[in-house]
Amino acid sequence: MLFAPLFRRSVSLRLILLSTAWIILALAAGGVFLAQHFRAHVENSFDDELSRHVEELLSYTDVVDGQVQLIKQPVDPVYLRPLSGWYWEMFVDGRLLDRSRSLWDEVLPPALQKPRRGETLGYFQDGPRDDRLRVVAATYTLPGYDGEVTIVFTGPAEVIQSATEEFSETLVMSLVLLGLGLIVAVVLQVILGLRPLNLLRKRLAEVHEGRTDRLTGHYPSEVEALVADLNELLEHNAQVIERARTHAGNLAHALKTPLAVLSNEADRMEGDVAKTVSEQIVIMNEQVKRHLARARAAGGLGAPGAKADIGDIASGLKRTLHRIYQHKPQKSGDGVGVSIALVNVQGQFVAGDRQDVEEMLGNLMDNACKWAATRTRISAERKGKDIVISVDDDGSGVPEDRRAEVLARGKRLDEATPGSGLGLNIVHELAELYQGSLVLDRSDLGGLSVRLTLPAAL
Amino acid sequence: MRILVVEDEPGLRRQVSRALSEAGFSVDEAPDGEEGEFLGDTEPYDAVVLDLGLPKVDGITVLKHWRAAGRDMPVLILTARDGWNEKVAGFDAGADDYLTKPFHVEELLARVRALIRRSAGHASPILECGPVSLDTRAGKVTIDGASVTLTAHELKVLSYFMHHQDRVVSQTELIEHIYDQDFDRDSNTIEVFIARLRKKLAPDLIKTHRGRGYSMSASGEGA
Repeated sequence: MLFAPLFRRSVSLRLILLSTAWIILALAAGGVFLAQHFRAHVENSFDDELSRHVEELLSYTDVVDGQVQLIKQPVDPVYLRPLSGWYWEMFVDGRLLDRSRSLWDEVLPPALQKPRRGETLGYFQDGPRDDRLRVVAATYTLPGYDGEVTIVFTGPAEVIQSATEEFSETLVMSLVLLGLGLIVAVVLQVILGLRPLNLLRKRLAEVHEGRTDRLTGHYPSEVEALVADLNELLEHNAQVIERARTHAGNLAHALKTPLAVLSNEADRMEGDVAKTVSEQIVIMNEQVKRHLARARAAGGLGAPGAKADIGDIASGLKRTLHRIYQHKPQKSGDGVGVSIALVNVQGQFVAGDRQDVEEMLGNLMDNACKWAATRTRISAERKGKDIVISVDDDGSGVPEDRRAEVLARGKRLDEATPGSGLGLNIVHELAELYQGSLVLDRSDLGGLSVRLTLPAAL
Repeated sequence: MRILVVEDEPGLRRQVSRALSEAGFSVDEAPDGEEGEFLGDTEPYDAVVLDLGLPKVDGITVLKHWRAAGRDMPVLILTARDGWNEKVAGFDAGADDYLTKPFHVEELLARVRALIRRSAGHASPILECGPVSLDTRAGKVTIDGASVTLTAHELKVLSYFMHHQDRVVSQTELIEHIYDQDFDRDSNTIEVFIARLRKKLAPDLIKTHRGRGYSMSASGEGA
């Protein structure tokens, strides 16, 4: 079936097609029934009229001296107009006694069936001029006469036919209009009836795009339960992530304090053992940092509806980095501190977890401040479905052939500047988790330009 | 110089205190947020090393309370939590520096010295007053380039004066910043230390202001 795939895909289409089929069937059956009923009704009325004429003629009949005689002829002019289709004949014992003037010199073809005594029959038959006639024939016995008198009246079947046809035309037209009206009503009903579902779909899309973190709006009771369940699921998700984060934080605390104690003890000792312990502590610490960062980040992906305000995050980081680097000697002149310019970051939102974005941006801005001579710049730009965040500095930059190295694990180009060297690498991994990217380039400020691309939220 | 160390892990607290003491600081310790906050409120510290994950009251809350009460001593946060959101929260609460665990003791000492120096308004790690020069990193004192050997207590007194030049320092202030809270304080010993400093460095280096205290300045005028 051609519609089968479409049918399965859309509830609306399914409802509309089924209703339309049912409407057409019901209306067609109704139409046939009505037409037949009407035709029967018209025939009955016609027969009634002919029957009255039969009875009228009978009343003009008398028995005089044992002979049947017609005292008077019907006066209705249609029986006088020649070959009008309105005829009558009167038989006495099968012999024609008299007939209408309208028959002119014709006779009605012999009847197919003769009514028995006291019986009235109605049927169709061909007329003298190949026209169809409606016939009512009745056979009577008259007082004072032994034989039987048969009276036949006819009218043109065309009258019935045209009345029926006229009715049928009107009927079909009305039914078609009614059908169209019903189909329109069905379509409206389906659209209006399914609107809560469409609304739900739209809201879910918004959650997915990070515009909101839960389903809002009023829904009918049938859908409300589903919405409540979905919201509960979203909330549960958020809680699970929060719990995982707390665990990660606790684990960090639990591991790093003993590491700090060990490291300080090792620092006080001399010899190979102390050296080995110190080295291993550095490796352990890097492993802990790296895996905690990933554990925290992987949670962020499971939370649909999360969005992070770049303007807010960048302002907070700017305040903090200002404090951290306020005493850093500038490479040119004898000033101190690093200037941090925020360009077009207000009102830009990334579809992602705030902590993840803060972690990425924090590492990038920290790096920029670390390497900058005097100034850094953070700018954001919406590009289609993405937001491109550029972090620039006026430091010495990174030569093109060593840029890939910087993104590699634990790599640091300048061992003298403090920092574990994990910064850019963690950002790179986080960005990839968000289907984003991290690109190093030369900055117009003179140093390194790091471009972080992340999905935008709106 | 007197430092408060608030850290719940006893091993690390001991290490940090020992390192600071060995570097010439007087150190008070607090094992939880409640005691830490009380000490910070009542004692005049020159710097605080504050952990964030503390029992009873967490470090951020303690710091916020101090800042709200107008306590403006420099605070170094020492924590295992290295997320940027936590750093931002720490600095926004009023921290002056942030060090994540694990760390090297030298790094911690350098940062504490820098904090104390800067809060007293000195940019260079080498403080000078006339012919006297004090290298805060090594605790070395020279006069006209010649090295002078001082005892730990003499160095503490000189260091306080070098940090707070050109103003009168009362005896009480000096005692509060030189001894930790458990030390048996005796104002007479201060006079002894000052007499020895005058003898070892220069007679007119430290001026006495009767009934008010002492002052040290390059011009010899005092405040």
